[in-house]
Amino acid sequence: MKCEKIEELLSPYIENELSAEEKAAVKSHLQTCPNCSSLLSRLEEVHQSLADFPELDVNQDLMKRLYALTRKKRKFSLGLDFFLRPSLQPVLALATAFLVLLSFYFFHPNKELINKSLERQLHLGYSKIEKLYAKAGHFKEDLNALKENFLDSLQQQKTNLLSGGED
Amino acid sequence: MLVNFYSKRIFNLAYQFSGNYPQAEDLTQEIFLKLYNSLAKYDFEKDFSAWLLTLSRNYLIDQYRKTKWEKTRRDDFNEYYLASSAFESPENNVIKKENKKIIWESLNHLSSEIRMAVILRDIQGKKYEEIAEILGLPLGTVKSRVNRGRLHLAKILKAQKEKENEM
Repeated sequence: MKCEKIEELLSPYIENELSAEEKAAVKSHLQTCPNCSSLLSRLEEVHQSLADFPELDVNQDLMKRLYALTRKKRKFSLGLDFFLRPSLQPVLALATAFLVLLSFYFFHPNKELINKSLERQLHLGYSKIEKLYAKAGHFKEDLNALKENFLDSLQQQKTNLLSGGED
Repeated sequence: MLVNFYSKRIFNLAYQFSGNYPQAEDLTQEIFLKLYNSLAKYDFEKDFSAWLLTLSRNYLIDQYRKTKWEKTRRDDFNEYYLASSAFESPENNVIKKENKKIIWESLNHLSSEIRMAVILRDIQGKKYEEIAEILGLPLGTVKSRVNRGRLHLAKILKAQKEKENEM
């Protein structure tokens, strides 16, 4: 195998991620190639040195700055948080649609036409309601008449039965 | 609470990536600000740490591209990374310190994407699968980036050592 190919395999070699065949090929190359062998030693040193870098503690000044950030954020968002709640989204959508319709009405060039048409629609709606109300009144009277009729016929039946019993 | 749990992780990532202490502090603050502004987008089914690291990684790389801070030198190694194992012989310690110094100062020779992969894998010791999730990349790409980064650093270390031996 050529040195370039071996170089690519050195990293997985130190992490033990090569197949048995690849491992054997790398080993045999390293025995005959001082250049790749020295590169492997350096690679191991890089690997070890990077792993040895310690984790630093955050200094108190930065911690204070970070805490101050959350306080600022809280103050800033106090007024807005309520409106940004997901549960309010349908309400806000409806309100927007309503406002769009309202602005359509107010800024339409033929506002008079819209007014007339609205008036006509309102009038038609009103007369429909009146008709329905009148119909409901008739229906109520019919029901009352039916009820009286039914009660009368029951009364009649009752008197017939009683007079039949006396005979 | 977020500050207590995650400030150390974010600060260390920012410091390892940028190599500059005051800059890492500013970046940590900016990442937290970005986090507060993006919390609404967090999908609760996802792992929060991985999500936060992805956000941090995106921010760090974006800032790196915008400001090109790679031209500024990394902090001197000795300032913050003097810690070394107490069980090593003094001679070994000196060699290790030298290696660490060269590697620390060479990290900015890696491209931002490769540097990030190397930091997550070798300094922070994350699994390849976790890194793939954080970076949003296929596993093979992550392994290849880490491999390339390590090789680059090993070659720098090798060249530096050879230069020292010649002197």
